[in-house]
Amino acid sequence: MTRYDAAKLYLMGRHGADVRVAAARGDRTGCAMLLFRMKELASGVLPRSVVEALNAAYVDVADTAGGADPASVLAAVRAVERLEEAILPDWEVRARD
Amino acid sequence: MAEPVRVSARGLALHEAVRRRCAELGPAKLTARRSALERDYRRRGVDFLTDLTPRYFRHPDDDGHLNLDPVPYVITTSDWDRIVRGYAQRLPVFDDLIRVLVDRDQSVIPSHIMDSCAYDRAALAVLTRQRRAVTFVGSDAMVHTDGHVQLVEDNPCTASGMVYGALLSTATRRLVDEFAGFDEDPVIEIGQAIRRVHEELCDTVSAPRIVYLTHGPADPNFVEHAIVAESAGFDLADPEDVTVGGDGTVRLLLGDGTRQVVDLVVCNHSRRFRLTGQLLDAVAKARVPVVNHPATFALSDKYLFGYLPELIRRRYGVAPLLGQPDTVPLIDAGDRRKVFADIREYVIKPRKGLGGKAVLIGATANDEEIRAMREVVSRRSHHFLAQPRVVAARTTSLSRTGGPESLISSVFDIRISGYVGTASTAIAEPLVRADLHGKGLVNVSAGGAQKPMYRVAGG
Repeated sequence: MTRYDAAKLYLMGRHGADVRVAAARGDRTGCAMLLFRMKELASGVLPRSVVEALNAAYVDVADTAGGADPASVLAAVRAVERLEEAILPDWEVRARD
Repeated sequence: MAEPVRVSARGLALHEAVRRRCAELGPAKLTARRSALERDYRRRGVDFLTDLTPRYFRHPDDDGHLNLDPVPYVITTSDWDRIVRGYAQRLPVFDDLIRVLVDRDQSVIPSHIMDSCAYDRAALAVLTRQRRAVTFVGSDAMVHTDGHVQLVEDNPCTASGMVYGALLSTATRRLVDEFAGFDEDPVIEIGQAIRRVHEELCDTVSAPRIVYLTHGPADPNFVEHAIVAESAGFDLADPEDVTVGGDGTVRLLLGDGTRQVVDLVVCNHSRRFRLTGQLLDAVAKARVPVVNHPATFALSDKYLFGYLPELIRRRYGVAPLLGQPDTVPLIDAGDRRKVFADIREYVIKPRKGLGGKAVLIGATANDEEIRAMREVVSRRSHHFLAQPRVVAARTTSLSRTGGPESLISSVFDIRISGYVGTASTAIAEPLVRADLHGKGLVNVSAGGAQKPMYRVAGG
C-alpha cells in the first residue's frame, strides 16, 4: 500500500463517520456526496467488490435524494460498515505490506 | 500460405439467427434488459470519461455514462480463434516498428513520412534495449460483407477496452436469462494471463513486484486501470509514489514510509508525467524494464499503421493474417484531389485523433461536412490521412431514440486488445461497438453502444 493509499484510507474513515451523522439527520444529499467521495477514494485502493458496494450505495442514495424512502440511507450505512470491515481487520498488515 | 482471416459463412449467417430471436423477444423486453444492464453498470461504477479533464478525482457531474446494447454479436469459436491468431501475429511487431524509427530504416518507411512523424528518437533507442518495449495494443477491426476481417486502426500502449468486453460479458450472463450458467470469470482469466506476460519480462525474479502507473480516478480509463491491476496482481500507483534512484533502481514508496524495490513498471500514457526521464534512465542502466513508456505513444501516429503489414512479412516471412485497408497520407495535392473526387469511398481521419473526433465518413457525410473537411485538410494536410472505406457487414442492435425502440441494422467494429510478452500473449474478451445513429461512427464518445460478443461452437 502506497502513502497515497494510506492517506485515502484515512480520509475514507473520516467520511465514513460523517455518513453516519448525515444519515442520522436524514440528509440524503450530504450522504450522497460523502459516499461519492468515499468511492473515489476507494477506487484502486480497496478490492473492486468493496468499491462496487460503495458505488451502488452512492447511486441508490443519489437517485432517491429528494424522496422519503429511508432504505437507501440505511443501505449507505451498511456499505460504510462493510468498508470498515474490509479495512480494519488487516489494517496493520496493510500498513506493513 | 495461411489464408487471410475471415468470418465463415456460418458466422455471417448467425447474424440472421440473432435478428430473428430478437424479433421474437420484441423491443420492449430488450429495452428493459438494456435498462437493467445500464443500471448495473452505473451502480458498479463501470464507466468511461470522455471529456479528458485533467484532474485527479472526479466530480459528481462528470458524465462517464456508457451506452449498452443488449443484443449480442455472435461469432463461432473457430472464427474467433482465427482472429486471435491473427492478432497474436501482429502484437510483437510494434517493437519492430520502434526499431525502424530509431534506425530510420527507409526500406520500410519513406523518409518524407518518417520526417513528418514526431517521436523522441533517443528515448525510443533506450527502450529498444529491453526485450520488449510495447506490451499492450488495442485495435479496431471491421468485418467486410464478404467476411474478411479488416483492422482499421491500432491504439498501441493506451489501455481502453481491455476489460470492458469482459465486464459486459459477465453482466449479461448475470442479468440475461439466455446467457446464465457460465461459470468462468473472464476478468480473472485475463488478469492471470496479463501477469504471465509481464513476468516473462523480469524472469530473474520469482515473484516480481510490478507497478502499474495511473493518473487517478479522473483518468478516462481508470476503471480499466484498477481492474487490470487488481486482476493481474500489480501495484496500482500514482507516479508520485514511485522514485528512481541515482543508480536507476525504481522504488515504490509505501504508506509506512519504507520503499520497496520495483521489478517492472507498466505505464499507460494518457498523460506525460514527471518520472518520464528518470524511468528512461532506469532502463538505460538496465535496472528495471519499463513497458509502454510515454515515448512509445509516438506509435499511435496513424501514418505508421500502414507499415505494419510489411513488418509482419519481415518478421515471419508470411503475409499478415488480418487484412487492413490502405493508408493514404494527404500530404500530396494529387492524393488529396484523388481522395476528394471519390470521397464517398473514403474515411478521413486525423493522424493523432482519439475517440472518433474529427473523423469524416465519406459515405454518410453531407456536402457541408465534406466541404469543411476539405478546407481543413488543405490547410493542415500533414495532420490527416484517408482510408478506403470497408464495405462493412452489419449487426442487429436496439435503437436509442428515447421513444419506443426498434431493432435496427447497424455498422459495428470489434475492439481487440492484447498484451504480449516474450513467449505468450493475453488476448482480452473482445468488445463490440455499434453505431446507433447511422453516421458510421462507433466510438463511445460519439454515442456508440457497447455490446457483448458471444461465441458458439463450431466453424
